[in-house]
Amino acid sequence: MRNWCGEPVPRVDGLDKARGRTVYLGDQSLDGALFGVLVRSPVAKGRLKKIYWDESIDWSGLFRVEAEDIPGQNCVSIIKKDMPCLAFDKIMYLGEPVALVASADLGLARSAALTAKQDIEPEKPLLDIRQAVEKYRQEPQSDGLIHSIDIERGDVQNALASSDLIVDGEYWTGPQEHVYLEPQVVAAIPRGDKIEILGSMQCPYYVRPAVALALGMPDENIIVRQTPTGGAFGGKEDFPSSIAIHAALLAQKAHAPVKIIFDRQEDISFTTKRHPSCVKLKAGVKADGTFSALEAEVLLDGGAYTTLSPVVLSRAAIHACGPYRWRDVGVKARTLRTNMPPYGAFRGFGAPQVHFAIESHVDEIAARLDMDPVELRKKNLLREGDQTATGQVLKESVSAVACLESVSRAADYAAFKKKLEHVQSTRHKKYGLGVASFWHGGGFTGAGEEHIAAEVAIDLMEGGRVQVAISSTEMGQGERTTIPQIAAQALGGIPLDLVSCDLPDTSNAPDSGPTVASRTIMMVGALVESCCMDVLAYLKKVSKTRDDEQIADWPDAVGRALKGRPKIRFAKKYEKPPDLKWNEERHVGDAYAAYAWGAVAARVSIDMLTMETTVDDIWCTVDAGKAINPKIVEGQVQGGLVQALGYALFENLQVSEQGAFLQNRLQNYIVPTSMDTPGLHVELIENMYSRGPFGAKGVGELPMNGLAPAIRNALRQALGQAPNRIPMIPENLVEQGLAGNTGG
Amino acid sequence: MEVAVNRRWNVNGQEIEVTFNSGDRLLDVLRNDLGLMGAKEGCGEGECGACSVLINGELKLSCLQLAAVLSDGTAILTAEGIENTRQGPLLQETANRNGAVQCGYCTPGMMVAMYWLMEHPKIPAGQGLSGNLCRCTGYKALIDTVDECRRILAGKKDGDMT
Repeated sequence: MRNWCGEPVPRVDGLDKARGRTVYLGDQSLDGALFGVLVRSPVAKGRLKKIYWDESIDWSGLFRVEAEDIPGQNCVSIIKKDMPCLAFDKIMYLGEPVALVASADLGLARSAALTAKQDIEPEKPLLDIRQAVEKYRQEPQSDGLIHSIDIERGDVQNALASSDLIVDGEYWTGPQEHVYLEPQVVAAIPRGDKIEILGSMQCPYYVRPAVALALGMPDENIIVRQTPTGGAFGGKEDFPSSIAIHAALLAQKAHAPVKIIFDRQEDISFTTKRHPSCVKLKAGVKADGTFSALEAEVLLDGGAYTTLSPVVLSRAAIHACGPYRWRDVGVKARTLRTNMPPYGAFRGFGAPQVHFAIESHVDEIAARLDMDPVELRKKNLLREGDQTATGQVLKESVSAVACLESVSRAADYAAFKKKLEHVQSTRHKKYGLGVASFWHGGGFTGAGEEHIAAEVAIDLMEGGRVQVAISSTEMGQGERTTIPQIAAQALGGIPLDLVSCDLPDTSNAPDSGPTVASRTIMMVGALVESCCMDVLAYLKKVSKTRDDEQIADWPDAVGRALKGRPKIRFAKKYEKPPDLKWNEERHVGDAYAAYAWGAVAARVSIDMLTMETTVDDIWCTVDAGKAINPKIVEGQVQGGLVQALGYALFENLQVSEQGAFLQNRLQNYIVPTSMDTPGLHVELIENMYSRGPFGAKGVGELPMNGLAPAIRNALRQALGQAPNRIPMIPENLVEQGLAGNTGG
Repeated sequence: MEVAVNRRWNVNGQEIEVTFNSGDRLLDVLRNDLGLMGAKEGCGEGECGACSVLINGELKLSCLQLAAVLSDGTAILTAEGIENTRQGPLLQETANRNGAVQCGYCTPGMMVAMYWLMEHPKIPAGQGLSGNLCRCTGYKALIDTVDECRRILAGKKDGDMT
């Protein structure tokens, strides 16, 4: 009997992947399959009157679908039903799908799609967050809003008026593309009165109802199976629903399997991205550095349709005050509509944007007070018993101060500060060390977990084998390894190779919710643990084992329970803990069941001739509760940090006058390479969460939140003035007037 | 105009004969004609490295490689062939133990680059892997794997000599 939680066991899918044997959907040949391609609108806004096809070409073996061919509702259902599967009448962004073509020959399908002539009456689009913000500030009640959230606590205006110091600031962040290495891919296969969907995805139970609604079929006639998924990061949360519908429409028309594979350019150009943001802060502070009041205006560019923007906005609004104690708070958060492809989920989900603002702002406050940024943070960081902006009392597992102390020790912060002045004055290079604190709520916001009502199942099978059936997906984050570790331990430490967790198939796996919001271990894992306890109690009964004893012969005990049947299933459903309270309308109460915490320090140098920033070392300490598999947790933190490095320094997306992203290839959309990887010094603190599986919280998104402002704060120290916009590419630094001072 | 081309190559240690169109990329021939799905198309323009293979011992991007120009006798090593090399199993197991494999999509190309780095021990790991993008790991586990395998292989060689 072994203790599996805390063991860095190698991941179960790792060797096959390393041997090149894992079969992704693009590697799989489907008998008689056609390739589907999308016909996209050539303008960002307008009225589509008609599509004319070139009837002089040979259409035999070619299939096409337009909006009028959709048997069910013409929408991609997620939170709202405002986004059509295929646009008709209104065009809302450049590249919006208007029709579909399929052929066994991909080249032929593409040429046929190109013959479509769209009769469109163009209108003037709104393309840029700056224009959208300007418009919103002129007329805040306009029809340009996708969603609004206000959080009020105390009396922020009064509190600001009686503060010793008021510090204002405005911070901007750009869009970010996921660049999962495997581009979007999905296939639809007609199976009698059913349709089977295969795909690279995070959320099989988002895809199922979306396809069912558009095809006008009952949910249970849509079977969704996840294929090995080559990265996702939020980019395969809602987006696969849309192309799954497209493939299913074509498959139904052609009575044949249809595969849709994006190439990189199509993928970057038209799939979701991180919401661009503009966050305006007004902080009221006492002379001794105590934070008292914060007013925040959080504006996100949502793109053309609602998609997931309301929940992204909610997370942004709640995290906008940072991991700090403020007595009075007023947050006005808005998602603005523009004529860009809908912005969507991306690791962090609204939190990285507001962290860039608040963590930059804390350094501005420190500068005004002439206080050390680390000391100022320590004075105001949330501690156990404190209340958040939504009035949530933090009852357990709060590690903001411990993380910051750990990082500042590891980075030798005090010594670096002393050394700095001496170094700076002699070089054309300038140096800085910046810190940031961060937090991330685990699981869905507010009542989200209650609405999802996740279910898990445990199947016992011959030979003592155990299968965990959940809809949570493996996308590289290690779910297929970590979940079995939880189960094997909860079942009394049985051999790990008896336990498996396969890629989900909606005909077998219950709906344990989407694989998002850092919830798979914390929420689904807790249900798996609890279900396993039921299994164990039952097996002890049938094997006549006392409660305080281990089951002596596991396969035999399972055999007694099976009584000759091939398998038996145990199930468990989420029940809301009675002490968690949430008011959605007022955004008051327990926003998250638990928070993960972190702090990060970045040591940077900037070349004053080229304005190029290099990050030499990153120290990061996180508390995500029990690290079930420390190697996997460490990998999440390292990977998240380097994604955040790209967000801060390289990943630049500009929009053309027509509404196209100018950087739509890996030649000009620059993500970090191994040459950009700084020294990564990660430490884990394990502050247990009582309801998490063996004390675990969520970690997936957390490391995305703090690094961009830490680098910005390091540049502030190096340059004496601060960039307030990311990405901090040289052009942006020059534009903000930060160049030219070579200091020597 | 495309014409059919016939070539005899050594792919992963085996002599093979293959016929393909003159305009095909090596990536297409490997995947479509030889059924070797290890090499992936991540970008199709030589930026991501997911299609990396060795051609006569040199690290190449199969999405930029016209297949027809590879003459008879060309030796090609793909991710699938690494397991049967001397260093292969060590590299694969070390990578997995170190957490250098996450989503796995960059991994076949990355393993080819790592294998090549075993043959070129003087090239720093970070530099040698810089043509292969990975969006999951942050590269540290990959670099550590190359360094660790080099240490082990160098140790073995020293042992053989004494």
